[in-house]
Amino acid sequence: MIRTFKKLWQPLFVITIVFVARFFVPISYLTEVIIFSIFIMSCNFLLGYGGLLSFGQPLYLGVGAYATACYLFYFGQNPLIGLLMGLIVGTIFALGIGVIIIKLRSDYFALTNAAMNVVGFFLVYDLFSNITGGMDGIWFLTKMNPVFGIDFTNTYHFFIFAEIVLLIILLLTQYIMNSMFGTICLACISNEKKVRFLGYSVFKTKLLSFIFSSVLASLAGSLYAIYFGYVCPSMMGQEKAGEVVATTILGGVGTLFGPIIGAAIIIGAKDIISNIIQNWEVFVGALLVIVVLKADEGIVGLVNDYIKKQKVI
Amino acid sequence: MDKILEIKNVNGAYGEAKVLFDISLSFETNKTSIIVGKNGAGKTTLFRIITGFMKPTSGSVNFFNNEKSQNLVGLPPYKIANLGIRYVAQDKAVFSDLTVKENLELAAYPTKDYNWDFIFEYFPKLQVLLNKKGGYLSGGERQMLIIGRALLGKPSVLLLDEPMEGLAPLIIEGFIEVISKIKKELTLIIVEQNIPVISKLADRVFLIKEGKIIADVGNKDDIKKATFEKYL
Repeated sequence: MIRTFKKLWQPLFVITIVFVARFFVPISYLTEVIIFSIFIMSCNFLLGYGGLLSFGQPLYLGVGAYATACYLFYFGQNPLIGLLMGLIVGTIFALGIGVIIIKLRSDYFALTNAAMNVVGFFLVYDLFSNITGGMDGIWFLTKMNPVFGIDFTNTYHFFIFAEIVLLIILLLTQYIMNSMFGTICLACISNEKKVRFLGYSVFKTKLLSFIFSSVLASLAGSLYAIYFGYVCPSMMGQEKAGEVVATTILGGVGTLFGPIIGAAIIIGAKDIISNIIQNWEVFVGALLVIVVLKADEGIVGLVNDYIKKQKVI
Repeated sequence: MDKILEIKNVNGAYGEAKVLFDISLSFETNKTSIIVGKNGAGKTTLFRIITGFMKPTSGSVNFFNNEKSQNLVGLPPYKIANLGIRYVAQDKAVFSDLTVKENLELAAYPTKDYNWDFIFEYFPKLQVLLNKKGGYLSGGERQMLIIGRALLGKPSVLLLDEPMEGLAPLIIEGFIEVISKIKKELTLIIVEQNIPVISKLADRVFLIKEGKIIADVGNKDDIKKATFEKYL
């Protein structure tokens, strides 16, 4: 327990930096970074602790987003219940899918997820368009009521709410990474057979890490839905899958803060560089190549290497 | 003497290639049995079947625990490990990114037996290496860690697949001494080709050739006199 919480200050420090940053950068940018970070954390945990690469993370984002949106559009006005709906549906969906695909070889797992993402996009775009609104999506911004004094349509209120959610997720992820479950996950990546020798079920371990990862993606989807008061199929587009994986690698796979750094760079690049050159992805692509060639743990790895060198000197 | 493990009419194959032919053996509680045979005779396949990593084409593997018998065939490997049957494979692989302590913690967690002081009595060197990552250990140190890890949770059966392979003679002497102490407390089944090891540790020797048991030597004097070299 002591080992698990000894680095508690790290998430608190990051949250403080994000909170102070609102005086220097637009709140809308920071809010998007927070939500995108949670989404990247899902891919980061799956890759770093489940050893599984997925090109279908937008599917799980979409499940959370549409569950929240459908609740808020058809049934109620409480965004917190909408968020809860996103988490519940996301968990059930991840459990159902995970039981089937978790035993697949890692390359098949990646491609199956990509294929399911395409199917999910089609279901939302076409087959269930009478419920999901098809390509037009669902608008419900004006339907959300304030809860406990929090007006979710107010940018500042939502920013504070998103910060609290990010803090909880950071603490939870740090706890899991430093717990015995995190160690078992790493051991599974290292040698599945040996993990079985010791009496662990590799299937259960991988399934749990997949569910945790998918629920994080669904949570990000729910937050997107509440923040914009709108969902549409493009959030599940296949190009988003590549973006998520690239951001994960850029920040640093298996690191706690890599997703936040990666998300800040990607959202920043979209906002700033797209004003200078149209194809901002070129910058991200070049940066990704440089980072991958320089360090195998992304930008966090580069910083860690630099700190280690300074200590040696 | 009470049986703890009984292999009955087991046949094993890799696809079309049959490897084990109607094997029947039994292992006694707290005795050390050594399986001797050439490479490719089917020794490791037999271990893979006992530990659930391979399903036999026919036959049963019965485990006697608290006077109850349980057929292990069809059980997943992790359930067999949790029944108290631990396997130390030939490859000496440890979790290289985890420290010695984390490797031990990982092994202790399923049984919640965190009392690993007795392991340091067998292998004092491990105590010094506690914070060293598994990837930086020598072959002998890895083997100490793997055997130590397998002993956590007090298993009733320990399977060792060529534990002395690739180790220096001096280290082998140390391991023989440790295994001589361990063998009093649990059932050991060892696959071994090192003749001095066989004569020093074995209470019973099974000779396996081309997937068939060709001899069962159960007398200590006979084991010492026997010339196992011709079967290797």
